[in-house]
Amino acid sequence: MDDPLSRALREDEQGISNAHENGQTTPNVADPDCLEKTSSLSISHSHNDWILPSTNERREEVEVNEEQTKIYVGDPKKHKSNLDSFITYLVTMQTYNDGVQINETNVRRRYNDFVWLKNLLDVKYPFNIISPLPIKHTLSKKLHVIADDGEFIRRRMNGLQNFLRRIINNPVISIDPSVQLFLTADDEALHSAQQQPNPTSPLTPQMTSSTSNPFRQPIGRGKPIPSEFSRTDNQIQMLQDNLRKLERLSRKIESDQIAIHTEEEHLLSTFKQWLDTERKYDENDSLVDTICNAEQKIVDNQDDLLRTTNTKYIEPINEYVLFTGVVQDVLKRRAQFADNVTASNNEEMFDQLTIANETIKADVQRWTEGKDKELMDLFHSMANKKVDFYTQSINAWEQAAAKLSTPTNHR
Amino acid sequence: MTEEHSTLFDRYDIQISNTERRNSSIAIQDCYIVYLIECRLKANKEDESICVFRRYSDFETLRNYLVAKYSWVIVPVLPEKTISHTWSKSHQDRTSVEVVERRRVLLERFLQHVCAHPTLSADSAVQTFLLQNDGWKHIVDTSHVLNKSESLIPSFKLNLMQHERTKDKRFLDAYQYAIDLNNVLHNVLRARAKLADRIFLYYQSHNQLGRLFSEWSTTEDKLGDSLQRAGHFLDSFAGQIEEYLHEEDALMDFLKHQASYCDVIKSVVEKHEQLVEDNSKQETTLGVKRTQRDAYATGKMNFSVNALKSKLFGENDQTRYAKIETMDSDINDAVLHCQNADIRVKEFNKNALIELDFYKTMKEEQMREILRSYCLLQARIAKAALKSWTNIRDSFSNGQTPI
Repeated sequence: MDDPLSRALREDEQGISNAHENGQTTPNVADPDCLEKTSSLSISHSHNDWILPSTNERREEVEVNEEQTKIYVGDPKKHKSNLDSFITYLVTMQTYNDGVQINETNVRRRYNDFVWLKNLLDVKYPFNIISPLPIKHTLSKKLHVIADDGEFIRRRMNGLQNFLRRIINNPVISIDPSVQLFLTADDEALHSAQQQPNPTSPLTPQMTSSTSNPFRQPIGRGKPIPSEFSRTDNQIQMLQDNLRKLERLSRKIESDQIAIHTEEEHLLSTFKQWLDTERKYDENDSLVDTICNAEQKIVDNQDDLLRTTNTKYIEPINEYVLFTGVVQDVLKRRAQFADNVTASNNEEMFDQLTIANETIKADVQRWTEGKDKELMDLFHSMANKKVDFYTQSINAWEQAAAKLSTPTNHR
Repeated sequence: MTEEHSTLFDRYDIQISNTERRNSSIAIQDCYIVYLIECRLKANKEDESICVFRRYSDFETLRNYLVAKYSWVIVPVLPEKTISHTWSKSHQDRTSVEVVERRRVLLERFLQHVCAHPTLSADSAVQTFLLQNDGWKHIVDTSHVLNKSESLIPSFKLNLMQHERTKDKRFLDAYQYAIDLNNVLHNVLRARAKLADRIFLYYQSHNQLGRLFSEWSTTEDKLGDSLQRAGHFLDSFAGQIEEYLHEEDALMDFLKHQASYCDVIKSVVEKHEQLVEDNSKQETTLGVKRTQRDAYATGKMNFSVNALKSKLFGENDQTRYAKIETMDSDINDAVLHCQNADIRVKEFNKNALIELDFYKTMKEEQMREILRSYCLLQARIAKAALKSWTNIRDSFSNGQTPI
């Protein structure tokens, strides 16, 4: 059977080996002191000197006594129930200790379940960076390939996996009961939890007034008061700008590629015409035949490469742009809260602000590390695809050249 | 091979070793290129080589003369007069160094092929063209083969008068093949030029990407190193392609060269058809004359003008007999014409078919060379790209070695 779902499954199995690197996390639960040390250090820094923690040093991964958790989202299956038809995904969580698997849970969840979880976490942890979900609908114009359901589902699965992975990576959120429920509970328990009224935000209405809108301009309050977070804000903004430029440029390059592909196909057809002419007059067609075959291979390879450019490269970049928006939102929320705290002069709120600041700093550091790694992986895999493509091209042309070296015999 | 039967190519090393720019008037733009032809005796390499300067139009004149004089020969072709089927960044200036060099190669090939051809090589105009400064033009002019009207008429006649194509399948096929092949080759050339354009734009976009990465790297910590390296390699990737596309352009010259032969084939076949037509005309004339003579001799033309004439002017038997004799000798002449025409056709066909066979072999060999070079060039382009992208990819792997 070759419906989009099983295709997505087959391709996903190949992706599982890639997921190995992506799914592996090392939460620093074994080293809570380290976390505290950095946060206390940052408090003692003066306002203007606070720098985004450098992620240049590679901490040696201490494997001893370390618990690792791997999360996979896969195995899409269509469900038809009553009036509804939807897809569920298998969410697998494996915990390891010292490389030995000690536990595994499997549950089935649909996209809306993820949405429920995210909304819950968004409200409960306003000062944490919660990963966005993969988009509900794809609006991107696929010039080259008709929207391939299999590809869309695979992208979604990948996005859902990233979402869960990042959640697990966060030591505070990963132990949240709702998260645990989501990952382990059976359908009934999940449904009943979903019927509960929405949890109230820890922030009282006066603490925060801004709504989460990634495209809203920051409120100008005259001259901005320099805060220890303004440097972070700038860096995030610059990153977002660069990512946006990258996305634009990548789309342009993609359309260049498509133009090339069209002309290559045209060239191939002229070669084929030539071949037909040779055959029509009983001439030796082996030379042109060789060229046709080589060119055909090139066209096919280009096809493959183009099919995945948008979904595997451009969309992830787009999603990262949105992700930076999430970070900006958190920072704005904090800034708003800070303003309110200063205005109200409430001791309890001041404490909460301190906690919020620390949470954000830790999250931003974690997020930055994740960003570095994920972008590196993304660029690496895109470049690797090009490497494969050119390797195949070289083979095709060298084979053809070899065939054309030996004088052929007339029929 | 005796001295008399050897070709120029056997006896001499023929090269176009240099080119020069000359001015035909004081104006700077009125310049043209001359090509230095060097012929050195193979037998005695220490001898000084014979040098002459010729310009493109000289080659053209020589070739037109050879085509007109040896109409059954598939005369080697010259490089194109105007540059065609190039990508937008290709060298368009006729006098640019690269274009002149590409022409030089093909002109040299032209000379070598002409000199290797036993019939053409023996022509005095060819020998003078190569070995003496002056004199070849005079030979060409006095040969009267370059009669303008005659060279225009055959194809004119054939196109307008719905001339019946030859029944000879070998020539008919060759003609059709030449037309079809010319078409497909031009399609290939056109498609390739457009593709080269797109490829150039694609590579250029990577210049921008490299710049973006370089700028971005300044605001990043850990990622910055990788971005900077990648940016550097992206720049070098973008810069690769221009040289290769120029090389591809030069290679396409050879394909155009092959396409030009199609026109030569066509004119050989047309000449054949002209001779066949000529032949059949002679035969028709002969037939008519014979019928007339027989009719006259038997006095059957009672109601014709001639009958009236003879009655009016009182022809007697003597004049009649003389007239018949004239007609007979006329007929004998016509018979001779017929036989000559017949021999001409047969000779032409025989030689032309030999030429066609020879051309086929040569064409296949040259095509093979061209296509093989094309494949190797594509492989080299892909290899250079592979190198760049491998470096780019490795910029983004952990544990990288310094540049």
